[in-house]
Amino acid sequence: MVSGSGQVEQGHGAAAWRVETKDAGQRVAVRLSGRWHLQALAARQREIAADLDRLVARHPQAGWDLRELARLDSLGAVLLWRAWGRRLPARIDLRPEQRALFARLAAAAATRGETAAPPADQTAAEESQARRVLSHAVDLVALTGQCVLDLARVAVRPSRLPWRDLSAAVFRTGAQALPITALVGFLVGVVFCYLSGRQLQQFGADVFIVNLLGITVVRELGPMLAAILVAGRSGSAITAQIGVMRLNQELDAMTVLGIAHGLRLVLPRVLALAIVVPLLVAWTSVATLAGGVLAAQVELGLSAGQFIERLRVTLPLLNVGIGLLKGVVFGVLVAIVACHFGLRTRPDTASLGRSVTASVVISITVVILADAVFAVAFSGMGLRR
Amino acid sequence: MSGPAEIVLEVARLETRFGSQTVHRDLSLQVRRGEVLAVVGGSGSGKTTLLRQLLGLERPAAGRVAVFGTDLATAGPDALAAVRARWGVLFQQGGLFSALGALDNVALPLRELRCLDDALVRDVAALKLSMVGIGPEHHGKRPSQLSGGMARRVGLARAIALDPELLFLDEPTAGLDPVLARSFVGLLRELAAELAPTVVIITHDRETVEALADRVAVLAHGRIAAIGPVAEVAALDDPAVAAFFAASPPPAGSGDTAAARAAD
Repeated sequence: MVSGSGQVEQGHGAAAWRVETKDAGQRVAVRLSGRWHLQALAARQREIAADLDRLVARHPQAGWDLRELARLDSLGAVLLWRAWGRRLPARIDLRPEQRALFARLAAAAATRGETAAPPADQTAAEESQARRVLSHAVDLVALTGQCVLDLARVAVRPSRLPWRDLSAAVFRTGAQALPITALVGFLVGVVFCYLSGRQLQQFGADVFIVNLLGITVVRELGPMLAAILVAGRSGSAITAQIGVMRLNQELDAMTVLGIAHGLRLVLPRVLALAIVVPLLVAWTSVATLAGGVLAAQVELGLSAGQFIERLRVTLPLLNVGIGLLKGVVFGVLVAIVACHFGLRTRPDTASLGRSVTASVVISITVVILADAVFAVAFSGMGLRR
Repeated sequence: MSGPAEIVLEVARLETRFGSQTVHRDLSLQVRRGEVLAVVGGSGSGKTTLLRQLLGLERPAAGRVAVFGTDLATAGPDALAAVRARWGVLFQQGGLFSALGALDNVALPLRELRCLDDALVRDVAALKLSMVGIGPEHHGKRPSQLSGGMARRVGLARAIALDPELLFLDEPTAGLDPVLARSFVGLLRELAAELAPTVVIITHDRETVEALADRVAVLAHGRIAAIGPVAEVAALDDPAVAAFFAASPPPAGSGDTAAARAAD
């Protein structure tokens, strides 16, 4: 269109435009037609934007006419607006509602100062790692202290404890965990006995498998397996449950109603795990030993009767006590860590996910740390020389 | 363009059951293009369940729900996606994604089309937010950092992100104080004029109905008790209608009478 008057039609599907030139190319008019809306534009948005850019570059003084448009939605308007360089062209014909739409765009553009406001997370990330760890530690200690106080209060007036919650928690964290703990314990017992039996056989010391298995399982493996399974199974559930209560403002509602979180949410769960985990420890230990008995019979030809008799002779009963005590402590630790991360959840879904992950990781770590403390504290007890 | 009598949404002999409880029985409803229809009724009359049926979140036990001529229960995934690109929904609780900021919440439906430049998407989302009166200083805020009224506005901006032909509003003013509710209704009216969508409002608020609706459908006893222009319906002396337009809460035990009526 260098000279004379003429018309060029262009378009993509429903969205079309016509370029008219008059007076030897001095006056150019662009008339839009068709439907400039999402359904028509979305698939070919890049081509249309490129074409419009070229059109504006070639005819910067063109007059635009949008009055014939059957439809113009926000996407269409933004496309044009960007092609025009974020302002209305000098010569343009609009219908009133189109004018209002572009006025809105101009207003939105005018107030666009710091559109890229820093996301809320960044400020949280800037908070130093050390301070976060410290604040978690402080909260954990406070929660533990609160638990002790609540326990004292309940001891004075047992009716204050939500017994129904407690029994439900015992059922969920205990009874329903029996199959998985038994399965895991049994398999670990089989594998452990099989591997160590092979080694002992080389020294002709087959029968010491019972000593080895007995002390490790009852004192170490049983409590650890039970605690780790409970942390993964029940700890995560506790954190998620309390975290969702934060999301739903149930925690706020409880506060407002004067129901203490400590007494209603934390204490029943802590007590439930304190009751349940030692029982699971006993159950898991028995299952692990059963696996050991089976492997010993198959691998070493040691009968079940011999195994049990030798276990009775070589295993000091104190070890069972230590195992159960560990169970109580591990249960309390897992419950407190899980409740802590549940209560610390901020009211958004991403925070909930982080809380549950942190709850499981931290509670397993804490359990292993506590186990190390037990190993040192009870180093002289229950071990025959 | 389409004629004035085109039916955008059609419910035919819909029946909804939860176990032994029948929520809707033989419910029929038609929404014409361009109109604003309010569905009203007392609490427990099945309004919210009806909305879930209209959105295809619930399957009818009998009858059919067709949106843009597509039966939601039998449509394939592509047909459903096509319908969903043409409607917008404002949920009562907002339904905003708590992990995303305000701008990203509005941009999400646009990004899900997977064919638009991100810069363009951000411009459109910013425009939508400015339409509902949310300035750029709030664009990065999470829903939990927004006030209730602002979260509702962001929800509305997301509902209109795709310039929908059909807009569902579930209790748009519930939980807002009267001043805020009135300004929100004003905003809805402005947007309805600007974007000219077909609107279905589920509400129990009489003021919203009178300010916005062309027609009103009164839901009672699991079916439409009355439907028509607001003034006409208000003049009827059906007890369910009167209960609503008297602006008094429905009499206690209306649920029982609903069950009794449904039984005969």
